[in-house]
Amino acid sequence: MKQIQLAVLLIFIGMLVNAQTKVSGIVTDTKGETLIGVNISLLNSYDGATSKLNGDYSFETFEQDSVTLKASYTGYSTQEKRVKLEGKELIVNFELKEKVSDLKAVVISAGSFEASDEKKGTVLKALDIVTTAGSSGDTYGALKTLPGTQQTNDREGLFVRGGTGAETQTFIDGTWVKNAFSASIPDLGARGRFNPFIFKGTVFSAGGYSALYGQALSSAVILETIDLPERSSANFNLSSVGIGGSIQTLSKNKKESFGVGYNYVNLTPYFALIKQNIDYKTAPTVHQIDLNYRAKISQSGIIKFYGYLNNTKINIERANVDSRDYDNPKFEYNDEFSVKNNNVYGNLSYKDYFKKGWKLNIGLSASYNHDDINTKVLNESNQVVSDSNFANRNWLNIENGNSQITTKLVIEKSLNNLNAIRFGAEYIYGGDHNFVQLKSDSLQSITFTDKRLVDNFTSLFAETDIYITNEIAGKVGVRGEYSSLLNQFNIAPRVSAAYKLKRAGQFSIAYGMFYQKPEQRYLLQNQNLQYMRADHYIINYQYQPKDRLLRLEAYYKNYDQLIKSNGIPNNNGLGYARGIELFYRDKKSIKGIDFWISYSFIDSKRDFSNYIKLVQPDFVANHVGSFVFKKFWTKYMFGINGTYTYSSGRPYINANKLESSNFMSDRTIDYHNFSISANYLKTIKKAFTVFVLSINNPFGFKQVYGNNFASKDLNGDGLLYKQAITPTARQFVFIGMFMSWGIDRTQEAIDGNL
Amino acid sequence: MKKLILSLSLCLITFIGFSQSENYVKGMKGMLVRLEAAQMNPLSYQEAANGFSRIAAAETKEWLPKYYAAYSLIMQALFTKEKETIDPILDRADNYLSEISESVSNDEVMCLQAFSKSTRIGVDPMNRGMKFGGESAKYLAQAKAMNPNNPRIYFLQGQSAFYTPEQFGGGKKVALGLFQTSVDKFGSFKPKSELMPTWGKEAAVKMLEECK
Repeated sequence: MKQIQLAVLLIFIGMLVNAQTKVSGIVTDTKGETLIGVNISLLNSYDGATSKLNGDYSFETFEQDSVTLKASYTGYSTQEKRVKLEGKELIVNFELKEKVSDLKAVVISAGSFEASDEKKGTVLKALDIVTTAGSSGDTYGALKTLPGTQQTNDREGLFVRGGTGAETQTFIDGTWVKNAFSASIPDLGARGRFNPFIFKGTVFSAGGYSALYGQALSSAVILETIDLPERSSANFNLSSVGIGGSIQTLSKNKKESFGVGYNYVNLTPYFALIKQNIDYKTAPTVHQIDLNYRAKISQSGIIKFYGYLNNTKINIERANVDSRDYDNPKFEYNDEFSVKNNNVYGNLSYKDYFKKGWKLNIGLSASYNHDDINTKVLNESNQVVSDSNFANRNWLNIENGNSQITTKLVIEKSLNNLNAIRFGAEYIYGGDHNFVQLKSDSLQSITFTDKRLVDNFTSLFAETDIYITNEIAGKVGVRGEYSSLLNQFNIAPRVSAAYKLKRAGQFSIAYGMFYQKPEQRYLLQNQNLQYMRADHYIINYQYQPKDRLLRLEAYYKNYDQLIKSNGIPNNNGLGYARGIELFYRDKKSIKGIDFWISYSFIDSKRDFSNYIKLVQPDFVANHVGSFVFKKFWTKYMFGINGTYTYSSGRPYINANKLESSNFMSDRTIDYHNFSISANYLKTIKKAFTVFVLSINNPFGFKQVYGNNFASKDLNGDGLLYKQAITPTARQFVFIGMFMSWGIDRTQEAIDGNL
Repeated sequence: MKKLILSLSLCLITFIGFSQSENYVKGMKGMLVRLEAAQMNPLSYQEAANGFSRIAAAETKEWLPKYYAAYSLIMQALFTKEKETIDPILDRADNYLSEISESVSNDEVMCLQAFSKSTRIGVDPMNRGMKFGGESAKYLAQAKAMNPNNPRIYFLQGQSAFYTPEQFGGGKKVALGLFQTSVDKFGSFKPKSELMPTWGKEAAVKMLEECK
């Protein structure tokens, strides 16, 4: 018995003597770089250490025998090692493998600019869209300060890299938007229909965009609406152009929100005060009702609805260019152009995440648009002219209607290391109606056109994200489309890749094939047309140290099967565009000032539309640049934003020089514009209020977008009368007040506490 | 002999049982001393976070190791200069906090939730102020409902007021009152046990001086 006791005692003593073991080592990554802050732990004990500045660690432990040492570090795969503790000093080194992670992985940046608050490495924040001077709160206006865009303020749409406005398409929550721009008057441009505040993310792709989207030959603007608001709120705005308000309520359980808003725009008082160079019989008058509903239907699932009803009226009278060719004051006619537009849009989307990395996105959108246009040629006594030179066009009534239903399904499966597969289908019903009638006070109306088009458009697409390491990533996609109207199928592959260099630089490349249906106005004349086609090749270098960003991008685009409209529309058009673009944003160099510079050089030629040869199009300026700055004084709650834009002259068709050698050889004068806006923030009786004053072109630069020519030589002098296309006034001034109240109880409590 | 082995093993079991809980308190105390001594740099807080996370991994039923791991991570984030690395650190803190929330809900946890949210504002104050400021305030309101005498509530409210411009209802004046309340409450504050949180007093005193 005593012997046993002795033995036990001896064992215990032996244990005590042998007890403490020192464990040490070095932790590196697979490239041999030391890692600092790695947690080394001995499983099932408290023992362990943290790797120090040179990657080494050491600790002592009383544990015995076989144990597991674990090294864990954010962004790296955890490594475990079985070791035997025998009292001797033990050296255990770890070599950790970096995980491909959202945070560190390279982002493919070729072709696209992203504005988002949530994602990393974006060029712009959501707020940048609204705070860019000169954008007038229009998303497209802000995008015009980015490289690749043209300053085509006289036309509808965003003109990107040698493409027309019709070649840029807008997508909201995944689905295509048919009528993204408000009703407009020829030569006066058009605003985007959507309030930038309803979007949390904007992607502007100047080319090479994902296979999830199609039918945009040149560019895609991809918008994502906001989720549930933080709290209930009420908003009110009053400005020199109108008045409006909205209410947004969040349910008590914070799982549902509903909002309704009304905005009324009327420029009559403004135009009464500030003279315009055309006569507004009805200044732009807009009524818009907005509705939204958002609901969290599960832990991860959200349903969103956004929709509006819009009614717009404009009626203008301006000089009729044709009649000026008489060169006779007696026959100086005027053009009246009136448009009444009704537009309804609704977008319902559902997004949810499921087990094993599955994600589902369903989108359904519907829209209806109707334009009722009357164009009249009026004499000085305000009557429709009976001049034979204006026969068949002295009073036309044009009605354009279109309705769309779009459904889209995207299924995504996330694999290891950020790799993912995405696939889905899209179906678009599109109906168009075009009606043109010659009206007369005395005679019966004559119908020139009464045509309807229906297209059932389907597409299938698949795309995969491939991450080899955090430094190398790629995206391969393909899209197939079928249009019942064209009775044609197309297949469009898209490929892009990015490689991250040491430090903050990266290269990206993109290639893609893009198809688009011809515009409705051509399809109404000839339905035996094919898709237009563009091929994009893009290379991009991006350097993004903290608070700075430099982007250089070069591209080549080949256009084929464009529509030529000399005579019956056909697909014999073609063209190309190539260019170099620079973007530099800096929030650091000048303290408190955030600025960006963009510059685009483009060389582009097209033989399409009514052109008679391959020539630089009338919407392409070779050099375009913008300088945008923002400065905010927190102390005074006051900020100033400014934007200067330059564009070299654009070609225009000189109707007096239609011979091939001189065709479109004329250029307009260079375009300069400066916009400045001042914002002042103040809390007025719990209402967070922003006062805005903005002036467009305060220095009164003369701006000419092109020239219109008389279509007939009426005085027989061999020359057609020419008139410059200009804005309706040199300056535009906007004064506004935006108030918002949080009407949530918890917010009141917080205010009380403060 | 059998009896001997039985009694010995019983002894051993009670010994182990006793020693584990004693070990836990000892381990925690040791780490708390190190946390207190942590220099104002990210690595020393990371070391503390690692230490608490080791205890948390071994003592899965205790919530305090996770609490202090989260607190250390928030402090690490607070002193981290590379803004892009702040969110992942706070993501880890939030992970611990949500693990705790599965079983424990009290004013201290709410305070830490609020602290984590308000720390995220620092990454991009212009764009994040509204969102995370609101979320942080919400947690503090909940903490106050649970225990209005917790001095850390007023310290954190003071912090957010201090960094909020006057025009938005913040400013030094507002912060001063809150820091004063916090310091007063610290005066009479007694943690329920020796391992319960005590942080914030020194900082509150310092901020109070700064507001004066």
